[in-house]
Amino acid sequence: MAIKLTAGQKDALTELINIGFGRAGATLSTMLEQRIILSVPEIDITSIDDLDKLVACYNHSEITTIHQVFSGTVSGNALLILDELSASTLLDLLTNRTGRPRRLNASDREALIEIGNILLNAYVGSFGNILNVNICFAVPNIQIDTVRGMFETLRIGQDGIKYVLVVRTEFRLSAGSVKGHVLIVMGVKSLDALISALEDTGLL
Amino acid sequence: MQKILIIDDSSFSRNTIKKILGNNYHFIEANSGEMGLEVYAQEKPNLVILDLTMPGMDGIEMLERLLLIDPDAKVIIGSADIQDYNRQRTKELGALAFINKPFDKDSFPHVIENVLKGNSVGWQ
Repeated sequence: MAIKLTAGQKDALTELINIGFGRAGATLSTMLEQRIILSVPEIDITSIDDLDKLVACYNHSEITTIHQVFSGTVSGNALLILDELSASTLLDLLTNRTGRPRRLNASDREALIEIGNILLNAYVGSFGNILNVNICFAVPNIQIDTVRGMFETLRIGQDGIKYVLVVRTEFRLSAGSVKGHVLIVMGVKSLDALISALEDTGLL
Repeated sequence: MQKILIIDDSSFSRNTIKKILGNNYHFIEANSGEMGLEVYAQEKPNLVILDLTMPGMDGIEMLERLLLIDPDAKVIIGSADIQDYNRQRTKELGALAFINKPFDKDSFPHVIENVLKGNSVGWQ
């Protein structure tokens, strides 16, 4: 059965996410020396089978996803999602290269994994600091697949979980050349822990 | 020339560090905690720059083991992890600095110089 967030819980969670995403955006801005525009975070509790509808904008095209599992009091999956052009442009900006979109080679993949690692740590790590809990990060990995294929892989690791809390945020460079999504996917148990930790901090 | 051991599973990250610090140091590299301990024993570097999130032995365990072997080892943590908990933990274990990725090309070389002198920096 799906659970619902109260207005107060949703408001506190949105603020928590805003802080984390702000930190991630600032980090990306430092790396690329460009202004980053961040969307207002959207929080949904959804069936795990409907995850791909949340990023339907990518349709059936291939996307590049940097995926990092986190665990501890709060556990889940953090995903940085980029379309082919954005992944390629991001690499060009980072390495001062120019060119048309290309197939990613091993060093491109390493660079994207590291960008994802830095961004996702800044994002989720902020939760740990605010909630005063320690979050352990697994080594990130990269997957190039369709949205459907990517979420199939994610679902394999979610034994028995039917509903998940999804935080969806969108960013783009001010020049409009790169845009992407960051998703945080957590089971309902982690949502309880998150709410409980928020209550402990007095933010709720 | 001072010898710096960079322990990070990401070659992108290792290359970034070398690019920022330029030709002022002799660099040696390891892509895991296990390899880092072996290389440290062989090379006895003046300084270690250590990542935290790595497959196998992570940076915290590596730091603990390294300081048991050599309590005078000079270690800078270079990590994407921004959590205060891990910053405090590595400080307690004996790291001399904690620098978050992405590394700042202006301040990072000064941190290296300071830590090589034995100073503890960057914990604010």
